[in-house]
Amino acid sequence: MTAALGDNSLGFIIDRVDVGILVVTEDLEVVLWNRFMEANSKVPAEVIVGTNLLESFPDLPGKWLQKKVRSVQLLNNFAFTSWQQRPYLFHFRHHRPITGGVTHMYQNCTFIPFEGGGGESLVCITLFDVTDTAISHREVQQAHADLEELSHRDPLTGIYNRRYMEAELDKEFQRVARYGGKLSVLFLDLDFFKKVNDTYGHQAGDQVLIEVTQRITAIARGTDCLARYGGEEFAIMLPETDTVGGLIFANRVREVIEKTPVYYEEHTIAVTASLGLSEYVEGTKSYDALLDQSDKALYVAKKQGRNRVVCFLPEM
Amino acid sequence: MKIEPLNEEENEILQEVINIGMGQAGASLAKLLDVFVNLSVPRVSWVNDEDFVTQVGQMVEGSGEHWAGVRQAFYNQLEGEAFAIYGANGCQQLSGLMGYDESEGMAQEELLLDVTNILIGACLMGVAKQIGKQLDFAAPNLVGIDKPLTELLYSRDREWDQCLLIEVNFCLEEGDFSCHLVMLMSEASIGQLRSGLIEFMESY
Repeated sequence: MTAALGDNSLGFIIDRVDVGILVVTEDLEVVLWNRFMEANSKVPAEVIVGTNLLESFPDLPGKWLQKKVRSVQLLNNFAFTSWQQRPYLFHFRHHRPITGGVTHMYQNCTFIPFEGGGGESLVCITLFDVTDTAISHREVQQAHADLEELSHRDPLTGIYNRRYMEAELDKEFQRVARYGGKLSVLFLDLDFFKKVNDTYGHQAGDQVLIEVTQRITAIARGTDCLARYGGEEFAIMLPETDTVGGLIFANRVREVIEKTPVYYEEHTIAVTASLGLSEYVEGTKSYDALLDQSDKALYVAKKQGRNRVVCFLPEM
Repeated sequence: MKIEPLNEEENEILQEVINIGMGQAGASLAKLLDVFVNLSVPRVSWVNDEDFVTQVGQMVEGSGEHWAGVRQAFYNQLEGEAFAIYGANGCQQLSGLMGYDESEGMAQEELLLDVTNILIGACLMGVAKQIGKQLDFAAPNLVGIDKPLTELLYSRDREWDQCLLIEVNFCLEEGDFSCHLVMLMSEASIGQLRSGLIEFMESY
């Protein structure tokens, strides 16, 4: 420390630095309470110094704080708290009265053991306002979650995309292969979809895709995973479903698509779909094989004249 | 600049200093937690960036496939990074001893950080004090929970060829809590380490 700085200067700096500083004894009696602490807690130094910290702040985690202070004194080593695990030590208002977005000040704290002038064992606690860091961290996390969700979705219909569905199917396949259970996969392809696009335009085609999606979603169970697999092709993973249950579901889907035409501008567009179903059986090698089987069944449904459901058979 | 590695004699003194330091750490931890504490004989070795994960892997072997890891940097006259690696049970057993209320939501993570700070602080301060070197610590941070070792000790573009690896196992005499401490000191600290070891030897 330079000679130009008198004792008063140091006291001034400690008081006015933009960091909370307090000093306590091993019994949590307050020895020093700087202006940051005063301003944020509204408890003046002359009131709190000489009293037990917990008297003015009964909401502090007393048992934990006592142990923390004791541990830094005993081991003569710093200790830390981070906002990520403990958002704050002192419940202070944040400094965003206008921009908001938070309910309190986030704090990082450091506990520093030292010996007082009379040889008594003291602990200095410093408190850093890290609210801005916490907010940007939260925003990054949110953006990350949004992006991840977005990367799972088909932008036109809002249902899952092929990549996500296949990953989910892989997980479900492994679960069933290991622990047993039922699993079916249904492929659905709209009949003569190219004609819809050619006759009424691509926007009409898009409208058909959106409405068909809504109709399937309305009758699917929450655990079913519906994905747009390709242009006008959909795949639906049906957990805990065998061929019997899968057929009932597939026929309901086929019927609802056939019965409800899509209205686009002045046009009434009749739509039908072909569906291929296959079920996991012991010995099915991978989720790929399951997809492949459903695709084969779908191909047969197309060949047999469309607007129908076909189950996969080994001879296909 | 190529730094001369420690010679055999210096390595021996280092092992001795570390043994004493760890022993003292164990004693103060036992006092703090009011339980009996067991520390393994510390293993000191020089590792290069390629085999350090394998080396650490050998020490924690058999205790499972996934661990929780906390990292803490130290700096000043000695510098490096330390890791505390916990098994599946974490350090839940210590929550009461550390004054945590078990119902607190984030308590488990904070407890990991807190215990790590105490273990690493006690061990490294014990060593630094022996050789009269100053040491400061940055706040610890959580590297991961339930992750394989390679992910916990992953580092980007390692800038070092060799570093000093100190490993010690820490456990309570009762219960199944155990923790593996891995302390890595960078090449830049070797000069300070050597001068400290020489002073330590001369003081005898």
